[in-house]
Amino acid sequence: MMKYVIETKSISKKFGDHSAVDGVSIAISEGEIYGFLGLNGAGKTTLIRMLLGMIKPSNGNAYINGALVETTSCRLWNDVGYMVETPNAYPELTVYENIEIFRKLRNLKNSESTEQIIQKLGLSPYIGKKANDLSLGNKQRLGLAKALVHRPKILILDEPTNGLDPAGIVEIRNYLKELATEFGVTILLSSHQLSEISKTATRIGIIHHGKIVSEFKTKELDLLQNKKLWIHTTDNILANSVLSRNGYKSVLVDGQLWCSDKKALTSPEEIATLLVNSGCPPKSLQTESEDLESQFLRLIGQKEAII
Amino acid sequence: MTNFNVVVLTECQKVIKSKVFIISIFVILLLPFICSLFMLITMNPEFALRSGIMASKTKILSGTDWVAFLEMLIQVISIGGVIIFGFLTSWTFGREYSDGTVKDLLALPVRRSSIVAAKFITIAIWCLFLAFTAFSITSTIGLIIGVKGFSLSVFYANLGKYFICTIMVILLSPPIAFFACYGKGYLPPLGFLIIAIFFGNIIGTMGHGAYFPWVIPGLYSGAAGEVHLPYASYIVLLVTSLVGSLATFIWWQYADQK
Repeated sequence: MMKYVIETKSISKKFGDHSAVDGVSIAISEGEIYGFLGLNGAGKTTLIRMLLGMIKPSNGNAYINGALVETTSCRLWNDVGYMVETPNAYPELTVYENIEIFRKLRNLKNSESTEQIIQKLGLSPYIGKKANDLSLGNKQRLGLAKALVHRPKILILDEPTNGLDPAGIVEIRNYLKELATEFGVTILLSSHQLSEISKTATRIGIIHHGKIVSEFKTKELDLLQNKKLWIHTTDNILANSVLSRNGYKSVLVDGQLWCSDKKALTSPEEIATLLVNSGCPPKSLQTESEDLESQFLRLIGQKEAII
Repeated sequence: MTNFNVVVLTECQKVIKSKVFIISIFVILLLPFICSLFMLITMNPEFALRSGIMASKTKILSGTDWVAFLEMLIQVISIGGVIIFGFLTSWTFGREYSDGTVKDLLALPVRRSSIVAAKFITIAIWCLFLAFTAFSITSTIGLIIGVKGFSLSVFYANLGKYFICTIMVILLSPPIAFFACYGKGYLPPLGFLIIAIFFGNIIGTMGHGAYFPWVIPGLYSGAAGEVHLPYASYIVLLVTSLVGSLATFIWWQYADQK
């Protein structure tokens, strides 16, 4: 039986009548970056808190390295680094002091690891600055530094790139990828942006209203995208009837003709030949892919396919 | 597993680096100031009246000697300490919620009970340090202004009573800590403290203060005159402290930390 590093089995959490997480099962293998995608309030943070033993599940269980997560778990967290929601820090302590607190609590004997993570995350210019005086982006870096100071084998990060500027996002993304590929770190990260998570994660799970509605490998993302072939001819009405007669499911709306058949999308040259032979040669054939935002909203049922 | 001493040291570090620590020192300095001022007035009643410090001749202290001087300090720490130490407890636990840092303490290779225990120990050290500071400064001022009747036996007897009262007040911290955790901040425990003091006044007036935890240190200090506390008073105080501690430990260990 395969041993997963992070696993939940039919885990649920109810707050009164509200079901925040409803029967979620995920299994993440070593070195994988699992992206957890959902709108605000979809249940991402509740699930992360259950994985970290901060909230007791109403049903089901969470496991880290095969061990059951409980509120009394303790040794389990030696290998885990985490950041939940906003990256808070002790406001009157400096960047260095904040990280040192967690280095000591994680029982690391010397402060070398603090200095290394400060350097790695570009916090050196702010080392003596109080956490309260940091920008949002640097607070985020400080939160990540606290999560990474002990070089964990497992990382659980709730929206890790929030507040970072574009350069910072790329930097953190590359660092997380490096940790996974070169050091075999298993990473679970959450986000509400498919565009962002698709650049980092190797597998994506979409959560909506507390349930996993879709789970796929990032490299399959392209296959899941809705696509359309826009056809512009000398006579779109004639072209529409020609395509229909030949088994294509073409659509003509307000003079605009498009087709989303797999056959049409994979071999548009056949459509071109057919239209030329039928006396309505194409002026242009253009394939358009659904954008990631639309794809995400479609997957969670918030939006009809617009492509 | 992380050494417990390290957990206590990190808690102490958080306190020492905070503004509240400095403020607490300034606040505790009010105690020697009040005691010394009252002693000076008692020692020089005519000057106090002439200079306008006092509007009428009032007997503030029972005498002008060291017994009266230190009794005053004991009474002030027993009553004022409930407010000051209560606030420090509210802050130590409540700030983790107000600053949003509590979540960072929940999934560490440290037992949550160790963190709670470290916080209680830090509060005790902090309060004892403040009490020691107040006592040292008051005593020094007493020597400078020439309070009469100093003897080591008087000094040690009052020193013992002073620290017993301080410990009694510190024992009242756990219920406040629980309300800080339950209310997720430092305003709910302060509300609880105000209610406890309010009821303490009513119950004390009714003559049942010996059985109400927040009145007991004051009664022991002699603030309401010579009172012989029944054993039940000490039991009430200990039970209050134990129930508060237990509730706080259980809350950290088992309650959902949303």
